[in-house]
Amino acid sequence: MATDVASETAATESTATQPVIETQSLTKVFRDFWGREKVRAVKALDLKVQPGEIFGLLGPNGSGKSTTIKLILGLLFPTSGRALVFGKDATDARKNDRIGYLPEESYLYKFLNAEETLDFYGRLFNMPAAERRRRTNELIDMVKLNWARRRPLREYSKGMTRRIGLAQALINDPDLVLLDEPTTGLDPLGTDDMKEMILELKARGKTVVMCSHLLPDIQDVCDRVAILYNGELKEQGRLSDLLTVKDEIDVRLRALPPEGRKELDALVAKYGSEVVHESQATSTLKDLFMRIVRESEARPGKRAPGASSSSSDSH
Amino acid sequence: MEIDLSDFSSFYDWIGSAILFALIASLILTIVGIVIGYIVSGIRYGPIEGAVAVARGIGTAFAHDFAYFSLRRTGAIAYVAIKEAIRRKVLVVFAVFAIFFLFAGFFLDTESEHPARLYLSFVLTTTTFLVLFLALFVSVFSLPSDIAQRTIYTVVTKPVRASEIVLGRMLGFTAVGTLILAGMMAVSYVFVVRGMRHHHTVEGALEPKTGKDGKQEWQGKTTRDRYHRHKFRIGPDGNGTTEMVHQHWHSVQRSGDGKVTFSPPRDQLIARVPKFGRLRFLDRQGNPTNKGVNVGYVYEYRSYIEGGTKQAAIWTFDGIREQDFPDGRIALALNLRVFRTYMGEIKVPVRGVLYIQHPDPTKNLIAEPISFASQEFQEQIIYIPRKLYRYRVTGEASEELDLFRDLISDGRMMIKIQCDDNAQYFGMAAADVYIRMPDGYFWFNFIKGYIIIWLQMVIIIAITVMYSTLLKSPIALVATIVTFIIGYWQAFIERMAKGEIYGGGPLEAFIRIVKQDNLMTPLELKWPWVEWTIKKADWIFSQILHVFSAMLPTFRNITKMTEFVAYNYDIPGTIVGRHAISALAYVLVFSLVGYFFLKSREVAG
Ligand SMILES: Nc1ncnc2c1ncn2[C@@H]1O[C@H](COP(=O)(O)OP(=O)(O)OP(=O)(O)O)[C@@H](O)[C@H]1O
Ligand SMILES: [Mg+2]
Repeated sequence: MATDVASETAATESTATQPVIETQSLTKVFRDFWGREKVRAVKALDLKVQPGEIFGLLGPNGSGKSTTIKLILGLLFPTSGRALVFGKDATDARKNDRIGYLPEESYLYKFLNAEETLDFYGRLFNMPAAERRRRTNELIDMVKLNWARRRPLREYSKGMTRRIGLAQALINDPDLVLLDEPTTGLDPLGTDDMKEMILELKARGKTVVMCSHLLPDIQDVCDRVAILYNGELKEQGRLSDLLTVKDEIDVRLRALPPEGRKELDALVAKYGSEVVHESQATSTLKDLFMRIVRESEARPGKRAPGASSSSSDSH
Repeated sequence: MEIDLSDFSSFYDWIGSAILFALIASLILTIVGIVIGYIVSGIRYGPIEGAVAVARGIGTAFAHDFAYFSLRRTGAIAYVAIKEAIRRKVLVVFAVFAIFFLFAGFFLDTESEHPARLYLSFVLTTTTFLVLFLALFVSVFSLPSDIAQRTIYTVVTKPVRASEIVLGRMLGFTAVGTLILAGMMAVSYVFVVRGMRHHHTVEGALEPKTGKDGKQEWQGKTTRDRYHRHKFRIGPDGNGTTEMVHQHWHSVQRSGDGKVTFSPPRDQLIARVPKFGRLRFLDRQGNPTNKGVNVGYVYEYRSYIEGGTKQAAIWTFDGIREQDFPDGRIALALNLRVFRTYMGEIKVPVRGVLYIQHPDPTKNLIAEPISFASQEFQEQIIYIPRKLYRYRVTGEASEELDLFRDLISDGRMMIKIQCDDNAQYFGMAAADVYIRMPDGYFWFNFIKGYIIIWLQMVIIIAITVMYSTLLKSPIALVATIVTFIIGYWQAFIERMAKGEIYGGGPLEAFIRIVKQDNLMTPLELKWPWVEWTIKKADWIFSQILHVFSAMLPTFRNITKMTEFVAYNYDIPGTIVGRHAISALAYVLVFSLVGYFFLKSREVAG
């Protein structure tokens, strides 16, 4: 990954600083009208997101990703435990000055057009008119909606709505961006743009938290991930560590005669073949994800994060 | 129209008691709020954590939210609220209203004695209802639908405060309501003014008459237009006036060639400015008492004095300044009721006398009485001239008095009225006799009436938005209507709480309805303990309802103010100011409550 070095330095710096997001045994139980328990959506979650990193939340449908993000934003109140953002309580409106949020679906006023939408959200940040105009133009360009800027959002397609949703999340040039499935609904070009934009945010020192099912997307951009299953944290760590298989080595060989394959390990040197590339083997994120899901299904209950992997969270 | 003179008490008297009331009400509200907040968060987080949460909530409100109030953010919320309201096609309501008025003329053109009153009541009532319903419907769906459609997610995750979300909505809907109300006001004004306009011509021929000094005069009657006609007289100079019919008169002009023209109606749309006094009575022996005779109605707004006795009604007027009466005389308006104990000729008026006496009784200074004949059902103006004569026993020399110098002392004037005809009665309430100050402008009074309606609209919007922070729209709708009704019937609820209403409280009344009982008979149930329980439950319910209703705006009193316009009375500016101040206070309280509601709920729950 191109940004490995950058993230490395950001991470080392950040150990000394305050985490951007910190959840302390965060728990959310949804109850019905009579107070009976319906769902335990998030169970005793401990997360820390450091400044400057891209943090991925993954998990199957209904595993509590969106709930976690809503708890972090104060849209939901925790049943127990707490969530801190920039050291402030999640329900504190002051934290929102530095936050951008793209919800699962873009919940925007359908009767406003793109310009009016961005202007409205700009006002909510108490931005003066000139700055609002400048930001609006910049962002509309960035999400490539210039051709539709005067059309009411009710006429927008899903991907267009997603784009304007992203633009509103960035109106205040936030230090922390929370993206709930940012790439759904986007075409391949849009997906690439989105990823590029996320990496750009990181390059500018911003912190990004995103959740997605699209594992390649996560794998492409995230520095660290947490995997949720049924509201529980199953795995958390640096993506490069999680995907490293310590006791395996990738060997790529050239010009190995077919008969030599059987005795490959012993005969590499003997046959005088050339080692082109040697590194730790990595699995794909998809393999990891599938394994965790399968293990969790087989053995429900709490699973120590990092147990299946050779390395755990280094923080 | 029954006028409550406590409405006219001085602004300074009012503001003191109003502030006291506001303090007590806020205290009750704060305590109730904290207790409810504690119960709710106690259930959610446990007894200690719950208390901490309540304390933190209050602290946050002031330290993080109110302190950072931003007009721009509030304005943004208001702007979206306006856009949303327009998208909901509220302007259609206005179109319906306008069309309604185009055709209203057909069914309003009755033979009423008071056409102006009828028209004005019609427009004011219609506007009030339409605007209040509009206010309710515009504001009740907004927040609940934002929450249901989750647009609120992208809003509350911005630095906008819950207080700004609530206040901004109130402002936005108020702006929309104001626009529509202003349009309705303009339509109503034109409707009333045009509805009153009419022309007469002479019916038949003018009847020539010879006047006192032998000069040529004329009399005649007009054609019947708009269900009325006038008789009129024209003086030797060719100018004259018609009689007062249907609340108005016309001036008449006869030109040299005998052509007669009539002016548009006069004095029909006016703003009478009353200066009210205090009323007390003398009994049959001439001793002071605070009530006259009750002639047998259950509830009496008026008291009666008997003719041919020493019974008298005495008004004391304060704050009379000579400069307020440029033509030197004081116009006294009389609206006395007549109660006849024997059936005389109904057309023959009952006679009365009016004395002006020096407020200091030791001076024993009384002016010659002014006699008058009662005019029933119509306001009667008696002009008290500046030059008066001292009331004297026969034989004394006549002594000239100056009204302002000799009879009014420190701005105080006393007027005594007696009935002259044996066994006939005059009925009066304090507001029935007043000094008529120079008229205000009708159009301005009309606007003041609409300001009163506007204030009610603002309060309704605030209540609706407050409820909609917590409740789904249909429930918020019902809650607002119930609140309005409780506020409107505040006086009734107060009487119920004091046990003054026949038929008891709601439970008892319900049983009476089921049993088809008379309201007056005692409630006799088979089991005394049931009766006891019902009475106690009713009592507790009434007390709670009373406290609750007493804290709400008195919608009835506010609505009553618009009646002033219909009855051609000027609404005193101080009353408008007073209602404006209380409306502002209520909006503040409702937004505060709305803030805490919104802040305490899970927007994504
Ligand atoms: N408002 C709510 N009321 C009741 N239950 C809820 C509510 N919101 C979420 N849940 C439940 O909480 C659990 C977690 O939901 P959540 O939306 O966090 O999942 P998710 O990981 O975001 O899933 P997806 O990938 O499908 O978006 C689910 O079982 C869901 O049914
Ligand atoms: Mg989700």
